[in-house]
Amino acid sequence: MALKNFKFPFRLETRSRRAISNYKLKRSQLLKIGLFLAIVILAVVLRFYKLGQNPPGLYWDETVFGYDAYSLLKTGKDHHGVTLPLFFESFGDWKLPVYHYLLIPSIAVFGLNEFAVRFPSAFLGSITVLVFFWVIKQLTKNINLSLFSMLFLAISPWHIQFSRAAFESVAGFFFFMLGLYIFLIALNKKKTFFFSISFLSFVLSMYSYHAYRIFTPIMILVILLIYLRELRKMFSSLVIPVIIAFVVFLPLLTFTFSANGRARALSQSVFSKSEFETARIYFGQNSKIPLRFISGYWSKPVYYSSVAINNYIDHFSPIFLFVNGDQTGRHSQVDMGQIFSFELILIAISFFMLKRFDQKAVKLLLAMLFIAPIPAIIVNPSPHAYRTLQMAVPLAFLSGLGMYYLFLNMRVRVVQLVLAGVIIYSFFTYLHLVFIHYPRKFSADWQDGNKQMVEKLQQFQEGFDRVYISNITQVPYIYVLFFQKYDPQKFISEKGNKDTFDKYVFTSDDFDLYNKGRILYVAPPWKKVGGIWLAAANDTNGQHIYYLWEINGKN
Amino acid sequence: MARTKFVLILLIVLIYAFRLWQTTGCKQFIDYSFIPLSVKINVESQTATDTGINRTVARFFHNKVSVGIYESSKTYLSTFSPKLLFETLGPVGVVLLIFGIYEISQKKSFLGVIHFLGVLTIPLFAIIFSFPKLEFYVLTLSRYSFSLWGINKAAKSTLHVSILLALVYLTFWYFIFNWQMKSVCNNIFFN
Repeated sequence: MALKNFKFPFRLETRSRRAISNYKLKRSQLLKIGLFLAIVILAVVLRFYKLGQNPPGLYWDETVFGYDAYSLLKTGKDHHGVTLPLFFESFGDWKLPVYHYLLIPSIAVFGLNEFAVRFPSAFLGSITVLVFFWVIKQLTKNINLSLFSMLFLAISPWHIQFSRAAFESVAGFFFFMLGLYIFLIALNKKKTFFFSISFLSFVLSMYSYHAYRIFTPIMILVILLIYLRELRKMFSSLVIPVIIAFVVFLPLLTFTFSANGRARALSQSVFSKSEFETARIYFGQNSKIPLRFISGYWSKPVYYSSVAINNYIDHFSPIFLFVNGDQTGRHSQVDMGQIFSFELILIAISFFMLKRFDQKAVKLLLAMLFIAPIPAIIVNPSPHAYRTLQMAVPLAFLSGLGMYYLFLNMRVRVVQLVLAGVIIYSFFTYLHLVFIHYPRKFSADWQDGNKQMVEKLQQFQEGFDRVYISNITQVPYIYVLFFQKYDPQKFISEKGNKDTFDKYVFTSDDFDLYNKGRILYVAPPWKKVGGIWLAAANDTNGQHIYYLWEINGKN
Repeated sequence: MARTKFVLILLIVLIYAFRLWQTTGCKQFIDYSFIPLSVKINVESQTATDTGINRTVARFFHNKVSVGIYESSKTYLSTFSPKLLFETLGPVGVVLLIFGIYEISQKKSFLGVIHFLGVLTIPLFAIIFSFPKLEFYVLTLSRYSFSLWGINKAAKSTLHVSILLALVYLTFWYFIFNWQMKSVCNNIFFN
């Protein structure tokens, strides 16, 4: 039934009235449908292929997402014992709830493993590509341009990077794009229902990831300003959706201003009084002599504005965008930019094309580009690809626009051939980097080796009353819980925590291990231990991450 | 309005002069020149990661041509890093620069286009030759002069002029706070 009702996003035209029941698609329309399907398949493959193995290892944030969702599935509580929490306690900060709850069905279907934890991200990432197509089609009424833009989001290294791991930003991004798409439909249909769904989707994006608590409200304001004339005429249709959205938003608003809600921002804030004072004193002592007296007139708000400007502009650095990307291994391929280098040319060309399109659409997409880095300007480090994932959409649109101009307007065959060659070569190089280089170079960034440690632990732990595990990776307990599929009910009822549960004790390296009877000790490989060496736990590249020792035991 | 523009230009020239005066303590300017050895190092390190991969395949993805283009564009693009632009032009200069490009694309002024092409090509000399101090001043002066194309667009109403004045004020403080000019200077001190 669902298949019967499925509609392609293109209007299929008939050749003649007589052939209405048996129409044939025009060649170009067939080509467009073929392209559309090919891009969808490409987007899905790029996000799902080897999802469980690459990125290598499960980062601790992903692990705790997975275990909390598993715990919710089994007990209705997170692993801290809180029933159906709205905000989840993580390692030193608080996480927003959407990704956790999205994970529950995934874990129910696929079990507690890497694939299940990453599935919602890869799935929503793929769907975002589709939604993006519809957004651009709604905005520009141009299918060719929508297809080109969609292609660039489908192959965007920036978007793929985050869609291939459990990153909340992907969910936030999806709900924002969905909200935008439904808003554009609502503008045409003038229906309260569509506005309600759109606003709820916007609120869901804010419940997904911290950056959207800043990005989405600003974007909503901009959208309302851009479409003010249309919205004035349908004021009555907006009242109920706004009330519903506000009611749903209220708990998040309360959380935002609470100590827990501000914890993350405060821990990484760039607005530090001590840094301001240090910089001021240093200026007073070392800058150009006639200017030193100015240090007495430094103003904090102006200084902080200057810091924020520096962080903001970092996100538009051509090196960050086209050459080297974010230097955190989890956030980019590092050896290439956040997007492809050739996109620089396409984006530059696109700026000359912007005037030919609906100016509201152009304003909306450019606003998105320039507002996207705002959540990242108040925190370190900068530039930060994860907090500014939203930039991928306007950049994909601009690249699509440049490509649209070169391929459909300019019609200079040599340029087209050269560009096509460059695009194909760059794309295959990217695949090579993602699937060959990345697991080899960045396994440490993903805390690879912890899964293997738990596997070795399961192999040797029988017969030991106590297992001591070094906490060099800070929170190894979550890996022991996750990869053993430890019963969450048991963990909660025995009041387990990050330092100890069941027979496991997580210790620092200066801990005295030699008077505890016969124990199994999981140590970092560089540590000298007076005991019987049992095994090594290596990461996927064969690097020793842990050694397992028997202490005070019999040979 | 002509008098306002004159005052504005004077203010902007003064703020640029102030920045150049601040650079007098720079003992070692950052060298943006291209180092050919970086190509070899890049190729070697990338192919070293490809252990167990067919050598032809590895060389297809990591060869001197592709890496050469990558490394040279990296060097060229680094001369357009927003931080370098902000540290030399300040917020007001960057805004004027953008308005300048807009003005030229609108009016299609021949002189403007030549000037703009000059701004785009001067960094090529910076990456080919290795005279960091000279390169910095040539690069900066070309950008300073080009930014003045944006004055007409940026000062078309009282509101625009007020914003521009606010930006001049912000630029002064930006130059004060960023007196070490980390994108320009490796080592700066004043006796």
